[in-house]
Amino acid sequence: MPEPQKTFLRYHLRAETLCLGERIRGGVFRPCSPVFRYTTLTGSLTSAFSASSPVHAVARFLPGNSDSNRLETLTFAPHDRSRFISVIPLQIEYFANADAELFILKTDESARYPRRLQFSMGAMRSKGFGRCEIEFEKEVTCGNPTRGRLCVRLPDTQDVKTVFGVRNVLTARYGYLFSPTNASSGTYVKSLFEGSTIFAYPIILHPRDKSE
Amino acid sequence: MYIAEATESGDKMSIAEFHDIGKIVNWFALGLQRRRADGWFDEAEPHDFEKCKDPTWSVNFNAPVWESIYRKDEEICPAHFPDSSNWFIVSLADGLAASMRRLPEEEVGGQSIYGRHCLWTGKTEPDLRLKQTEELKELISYLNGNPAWEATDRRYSRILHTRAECAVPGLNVATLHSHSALTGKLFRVLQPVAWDAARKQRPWGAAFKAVEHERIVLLSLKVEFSQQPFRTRDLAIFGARRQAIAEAVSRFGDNVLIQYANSIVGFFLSDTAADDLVESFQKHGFTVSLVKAQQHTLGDLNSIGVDDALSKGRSSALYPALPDVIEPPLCENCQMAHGQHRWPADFLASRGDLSPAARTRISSISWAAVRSQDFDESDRTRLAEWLEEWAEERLCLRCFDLRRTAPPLIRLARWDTGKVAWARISLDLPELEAALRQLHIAYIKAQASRISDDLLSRKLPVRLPLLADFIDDYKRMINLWRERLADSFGQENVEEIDEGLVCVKLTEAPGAIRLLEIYRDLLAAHFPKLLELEAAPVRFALSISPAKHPFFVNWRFLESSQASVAVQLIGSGKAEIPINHLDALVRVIRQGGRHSFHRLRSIARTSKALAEIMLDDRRERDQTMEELRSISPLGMDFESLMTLANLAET
Repeated sequence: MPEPQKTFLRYHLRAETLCLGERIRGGVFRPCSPVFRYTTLTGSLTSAFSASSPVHAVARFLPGNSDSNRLETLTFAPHDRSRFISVIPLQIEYFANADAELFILKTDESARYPRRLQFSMGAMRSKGFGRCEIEFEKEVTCGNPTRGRLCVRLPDTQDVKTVFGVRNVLTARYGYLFSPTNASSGTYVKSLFEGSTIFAYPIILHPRDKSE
Repeated sequence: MYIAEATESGDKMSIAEFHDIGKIVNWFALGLQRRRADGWFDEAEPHDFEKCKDPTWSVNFNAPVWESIYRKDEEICPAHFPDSSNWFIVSLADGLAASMRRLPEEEVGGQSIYGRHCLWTGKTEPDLRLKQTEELKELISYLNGNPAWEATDRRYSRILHTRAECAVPGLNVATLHSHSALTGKLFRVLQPVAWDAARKQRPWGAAFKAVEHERIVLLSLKVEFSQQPFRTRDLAIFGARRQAIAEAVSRFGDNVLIQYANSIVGFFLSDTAADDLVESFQKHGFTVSLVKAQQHTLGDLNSIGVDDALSKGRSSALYPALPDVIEPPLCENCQMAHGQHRWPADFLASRGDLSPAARTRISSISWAAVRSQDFDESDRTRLAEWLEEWAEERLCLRCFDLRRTAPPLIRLARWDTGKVAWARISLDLPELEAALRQLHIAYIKAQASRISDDLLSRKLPVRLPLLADFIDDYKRMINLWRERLADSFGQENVEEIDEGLVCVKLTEAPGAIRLLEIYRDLLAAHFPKLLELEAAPVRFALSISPAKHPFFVNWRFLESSQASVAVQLIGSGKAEIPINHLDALVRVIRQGGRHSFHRLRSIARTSKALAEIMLDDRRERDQTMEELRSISPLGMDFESLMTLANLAET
C-alpha cells in the first residue's frame, strides 16, 4: 500500500543572530545547538501564529557562502539590578547570519498562515537575539520515507514521528528535549538527536545524504 | 592489550600459538629444504617439523605443543594424542586467523619473501630466521619443555615480528606474531564446539563438515558516553570507560580479537555471549555503537572476510534503559536521567571532616543560601573553596558518583589562565580497511611475478593479523606522541585524559603549531604511506581554547571531526587540512602573512572570485602568496587559512 503523502509549507528563514541555547549549566559559556529543535520551533511558531493547535515544524540550515551560519561568540556582562552589580561575564555562542529552510506541516489552519512573518526564537531574546524573518516559498510534498541521517532534534513520540514520516530508526542517538506542560512547568521527553540514522521524509534528513 | 593477553596465565591452554613456530627456522639454510638449479624450491618449506621426526632430533612427541605443530601428521597425532581433538581445532583456528578469506596462494606467485613487508611504512623486514643447526636443536629442546607462549613470544620476539606469516610475494604483509596470537585466541573460543566433532570424525574434511554450520557472531563496537563534561572532575568519565573496557577485555579475553581506545572487534559462538559483552558496558551506563555481522557460520568464513562481514553488518546504538519522560530537574551532566542529587551540597553533607551541624545545615537549605558566616572557623576553612567556586548543579546518581570519586587531574585543575590545546589522535576502522586494501593491492602489483587476471578486479580482503599489526604500530605511535609532548612542552604542561587524548598548556607561541609538527613527524615516521592516500584512517583533531573553557565544547569538535587533520580555535574558527598537504600548510602559516590572509578573507566574504584574482595578482611580489596559491586549490578556503594564521600565533 502506498504511503500517505504529506504536504509541508517551505519558508525561507533568516536571522541576523540566532542562539539555539544548549541545555548546559554551571559555566560561563553558553553553547549553541548546531541544529534546530522541534520543540523550540513549535513553541515559537505556535505563539507567533497564535495557532489554536501546536505547529509541527522543523528547520535545517542551508549550505551557503562562508558568511552565513557562522558560529560566533559574544561576551556579555549581565547586570544584577537588585544588587546594582555586574556579575561574571557570559560568553554566548550564536549563529550569525542564520540562513535556513523551515518546513511547517500543511493543515487547514497553517494554509492560512501569512506568507511573511517576523518572530523571535531561541535564547537571549531580551538582548536582541533570535529575531527571525520567514518568507513562504513553496509547498513540498513528501511521499515515501528515505534513509538518511537526522539533522534536527525531534521528540521520539508517535505523533511527531508520524508527521515527519519517521519509520525505522536504524541507529538512534537519543537525548531529551524540554516539553512544556503549562506556562511554568514541563517535562523532558525522550528525543531523537541529530546523527541518528533513520527512514523519514527527506526534509528532516541531512541534505547531502539524499537529494530531494 | 590488542592481540594476546600479556599475562603468564598457567591455566590458559596456549598450544595453538605454536602451530607455525617452525616458520622461524630457515630450513633451506639448514639443508632441510631442497632447491632446484633455477632457484625455485623443489619442495614446500618443512615448517611443520616434518624433517625432524627422526629420533636424532630428540623431539618429545608427548609434549602438548607438538600436537599443535604436527596437527596435519596422520601418524604422530593419532599415536601420541589419541583422544585429543586439538589437532583439528588448531587447524580450524589457523585457517580463521590466517585466512578469514585469505587470498588463494595460487593466485599470486614468485620467489618467497620471508621478511614481512609493512604496508604503511613501505619497508620489508630482514630475514632473521634461525640458520644454525644448533639453534634448531635448541628450539626443539625448548619446545619439549612445553613452554608458555608469552615466554616464547619474548624469547623469539624479533623473529616473530619480522617473519611474514605467509611468504608468498605480495601476501607477506602480516607478522607471524599477530597470526600466532590470534590463532591461540580463536582456538580457545572454538574448543567447546569443535572438541566433539574431531573426536568422532577424522580426517579434516569430515570433522569440518560437523562444525561448518556452527553459528558465529562477529561484531565491532565502540563504547561511548552521553556525559557532556564541563568540569575537570567530570573528565573521570574517560577513566571509568577505560576501566569498563579493561574489565570486559579481561572477562572476554579470547573473544576480544582486537581492541584499541574505545573500540573492540569480537568473535563469539552465540548471541548470548556477545550480548553479555555489550551489556557489561550498558550496566555501567555507557552507550554502545554496535556493528554486528549478519548470520554467519564457521563455514562462511572460508568465503567472506571479517572486513566484508562487518561492512555488511547491521549498525545500532544501544543505550542503557531510558525512560520516555523525565521529571525535572534533568541531570546537568549526562542529561539522560533525573538529577536527584545536589552538587556539591549532597557531597559535602556526607563528608566526615565537617561537623554534624555544618552537614545538617548544608543539606537542609539551598546551596545559594549557604553563607560562610553560618559555620564555625574550622568548617569555614574546609568549605572555603566550595563556597567560592561552585554553583549548585543537579546530577543523577551515576554522574554524582563519578564526580564524587573522581581522581583529581592535578595539572589541569591548576591551569586557570592562558590557553590550552586539546589534542586527539583517533583511528577509524572502516577507513583503515580501505587504506590497507589500497596499499596492499599496490604492493601485490609491485611484487608478485604472477597475478591472476581477476584478482585485481576483486575487493581485496583485509585480514585480522594485518589489522592487528597496524594497531600495534598505532599504539606505539600514541605512546611516543605522549613522550614527545612531555619533552617539548614539559611534563608539568601535559595532562593525559584518555588513550590518544591529551590537554597541553600553551605557555609560549607558537605552541599550537608545534603540536601539529610533532604529529606530522610521528605520522611520517610510523605511517609514511598513509600520507600518500586520500583516505585518512588516522585522524588528528586539535582544539585551542582558554584554560577554563568548558571541555565539552572542545570534545564536541574532537569527537565529531572527520577530517584527517582538523583544527578549531575557539573564538576564531575552524580549518580542515588534507593530510598530504600538512607539510606545505605548516610552512606557509609559519611564514606569517597574517594581514594578507585577513584581507583575503574579508574580500572572499563578499566575493571568492575577487579574492582569487587578488591572490593571483600578488603572488609574483609576495612569496607567501605564491605558496598560498599552490595550496589554495587543495580544499582550503580563506576562512580556514585565517584560522591557521591565528593558530600560528597561539
